[in-house]
Amino acid sequence: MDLSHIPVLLLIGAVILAGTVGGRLFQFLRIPQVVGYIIIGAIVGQAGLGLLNETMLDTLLPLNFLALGVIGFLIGGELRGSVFRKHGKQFFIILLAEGITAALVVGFLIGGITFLATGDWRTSLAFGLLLGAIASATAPAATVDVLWEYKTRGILTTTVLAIVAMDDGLALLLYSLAASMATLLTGSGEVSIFASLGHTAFEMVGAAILGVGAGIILNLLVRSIHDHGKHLTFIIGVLTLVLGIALLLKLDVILAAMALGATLVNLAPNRSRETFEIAERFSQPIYVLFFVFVGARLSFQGLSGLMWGLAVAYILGRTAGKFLGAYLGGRWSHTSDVIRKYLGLCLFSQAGVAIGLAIMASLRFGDQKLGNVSMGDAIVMIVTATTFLVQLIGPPCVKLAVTKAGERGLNVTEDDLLHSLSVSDVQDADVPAFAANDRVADIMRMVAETDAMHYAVLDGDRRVLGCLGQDSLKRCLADMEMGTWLVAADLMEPAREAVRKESPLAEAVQHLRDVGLEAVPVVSDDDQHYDGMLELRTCEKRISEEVWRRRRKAELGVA
Amino acid sequence: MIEANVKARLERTALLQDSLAKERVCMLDATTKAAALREMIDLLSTCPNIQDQPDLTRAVFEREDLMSTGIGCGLAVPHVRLSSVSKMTMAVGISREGIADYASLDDSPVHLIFLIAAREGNHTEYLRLLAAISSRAKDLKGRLVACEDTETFCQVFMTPDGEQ
Repeated sequence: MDLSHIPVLLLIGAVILAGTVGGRLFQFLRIPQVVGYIIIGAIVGQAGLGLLNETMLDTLLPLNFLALGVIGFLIGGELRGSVFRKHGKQFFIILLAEGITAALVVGFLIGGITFLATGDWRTSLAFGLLLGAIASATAPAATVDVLWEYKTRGILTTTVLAIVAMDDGLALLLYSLAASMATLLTGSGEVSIFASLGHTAFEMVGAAILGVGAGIILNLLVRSIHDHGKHLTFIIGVLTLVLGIALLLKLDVILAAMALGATLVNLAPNRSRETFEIAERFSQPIYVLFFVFVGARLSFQGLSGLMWGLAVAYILGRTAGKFLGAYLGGRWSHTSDVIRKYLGLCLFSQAGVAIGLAIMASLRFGDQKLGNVSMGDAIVMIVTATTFLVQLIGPPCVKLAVTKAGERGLNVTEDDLLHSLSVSDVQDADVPAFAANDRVADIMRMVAETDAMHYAVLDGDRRVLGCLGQDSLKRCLADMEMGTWLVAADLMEPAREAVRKESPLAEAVQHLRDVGLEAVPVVSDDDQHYDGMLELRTCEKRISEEVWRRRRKAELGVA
Repeated sequence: MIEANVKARLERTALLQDSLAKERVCMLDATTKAAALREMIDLLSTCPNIQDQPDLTRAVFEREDLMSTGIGCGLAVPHVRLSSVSKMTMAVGISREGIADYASLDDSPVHLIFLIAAREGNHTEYLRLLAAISSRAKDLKGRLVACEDTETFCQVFMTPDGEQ
C-alpha cells in the first residue's frame, strides 16, 4: 500500500500511538517497551507490511536526529565531573577493552569466513576490519531507554551510561583506522591513515567544542529566566540549533548533544536537574518515533546463504567480544564484581551509529566485490539484519543485568514512589484511636507517647466519627482541669473524609492537599471499619526516607 | 506578662458578653436534670442563632449520654456544636435548690447551668468560651448563685475580673 501521499502529521500521530500501544503490550509481558516499538516498526516497515517505505522514512529523518540529540543530551546530563574524576580511568580501560575486543573477534571471524569462501585474503581482511570496527559501536538509545524505564541507579548504571556515551567516539576512531587500512588493502582510493584520522578528530573535537559552547550559553539562559515554563523552549531551541550545526559541519551529532548536556550538568549541578527532568518528559514521544523508525528501516532483502552465515558470525562474535571485553576491562581496571559480570549484557544494542558507518562503508567500498555481491552492500545487509536481532535481544539483556545487579528501582523520585504505593503502604495503623466518651485528660496522657498529630474518634462499631488533632488538645493545656470534663467528641472535628486502604496513595495525597487537610482516617475496603490514619506529614517523611534509602543503596554500590 | 494577662482577661470578658444576652439568663423552676436541660433548651432556642430546636435537643441529650457535663463545684456546662447554629450562643440557668440528679463529677447538686451551642467549625472560640466559663464561674460561684435576679447575675458575671 502506498501511503506516501498522507500528511506527515497523520503519519507521526499514527506511529506514536501504534508504537506506544506496542510498548505497553510488551511492558505488560515484562519485556522492555523499546522492543515493542521496534517490532511495531518492523511490522509496518520494509521487513513487514511495507506501509512505511524508504522515502517516507527519509522525510522524517530530522526527527531521528532530534531523538538522538535528546538521548545524547540526557546521557550528557549523567556525566558528572565528580563521577569521571573518581571512575574515569576505569571507564576508559573498560571502553577500550569492550570496543577493541568486539572489533577483533568480529574482524577475525568475518575475515576468516570470507577468506574460506572467497580465497581473497586482501578483500577478506578489509571486510573483517570494516565490520569489526562497526561492531564496536553500541547504541545508547535502547540501552538508556531501558535504564530509565526501570529507574536504575548504581555503579553498573553509571558505567553503562559512561561507556555508551563514549562508545561513539571509539567506533568512529576504529572505523576511520579500518577504512584507511581497507582502502590500502583493496586499492580503492588513496586516502592516507593520517587524513582519515584527522577527519575523525575534526568530527569529534568539533562536536565537543560546539556542545560545550552551547552548554555555556544554555546555562546562562536558564539561569537568567526564572519562568520554568520557558526553559523547555530554550532547551529545544539550543539543542536543535546544536544538532543543525553539527549536521551542517558534518560533526558527530550525539557527541555534540552529549557535550551540551555534560557542560550544563557540570556548570549547574543542582539547577540543571529540573532542566533535564523537563527534557526527559518531552522526550518520550520522540523516542517512540525513533524506535518505530529503526524497526521500519530494517530489511532482510538480498541476504544470501553466505550473508546469513556472516550475519550469524557477526552477532556471535560481537556478543562474545562485548562480553569478554567488558569482563577483561573490569578485571584490568579492578572494578567491582557487578561490572565484570553484567556490563557485557548491557552492550549488545546496535543502531544508528553502526548503520551510519555501514552506509559510509557502502559508499566508499561499493565497487569492491565479495563474490557476486558488492562489499558495500554486504556490509549494509549484515549490519541491518543483525541490528534487528540485537535490538530485540539487547533491551531484555539490559533489564536482566540491572535486575541481577540489584539496581532496579533505585533511581525513583518521590513522585514515582507516590504513584507506586497504595494508602495501606504508608498508613499508620498503630496510632491510637479513641471512643467518643474518652476523657480528654486520658487522651492527653496517651498521645504524649505517640508521634502522631491526628487521631480518629470511633463509635462502638469502630466506624469513624471524627478526627482529633493535637491543636485541639493543646488548647486544653491552658486549663488542664477542662480535660477532666471534656470528652473526645467535644474536641473532634466530624469526619467528612475517609480514604480506603487500597486507594492509590497519589490520589489520596492529592485530595488531602486539595482540600487542605493534614490527615484523614483510613477505612477498610469491605466494611468501612477504621484501619489507621494517613497523615500528610508522616507520608511525605516516609517517602523521602525511602527515596534517600534507595539512593544511598545505589551510592554505596558506586563507592 | 502582666499586660498579656490583662489582655487575656479582657478578651475572656468580651467573649462572655458576646455570647450571653441578659434575656437568656433564667431562674430555673426544674428540679431534675432532664427538665432543667429542656427548660434551658427552650430558653436558648429563643435566640435567632438557633435554627433547629429539635436538633439542639437531640445533641444536648446525646452529649449527656457520653458523659455528664456536671463539672463539679455546683456547675454544669452542657455544650454542643451544630451546623444548625449560626453563631455561638449561651444560656444560663440558676437553681437555688440545686439539681441533685445531674451526676456531677463531684456528685454535688448543680446550681448553675451554662448551655452553649456553637457553630460547627467554630472550634477555637468554642474551646475558649468553655475555658472562660469554667474559670470564671468557679471563681464567682457563691456570688452568682446568691444573685436575686438575672440583672444582677449578668452584672457580676460579665464585669471584667478585678473590677467587681
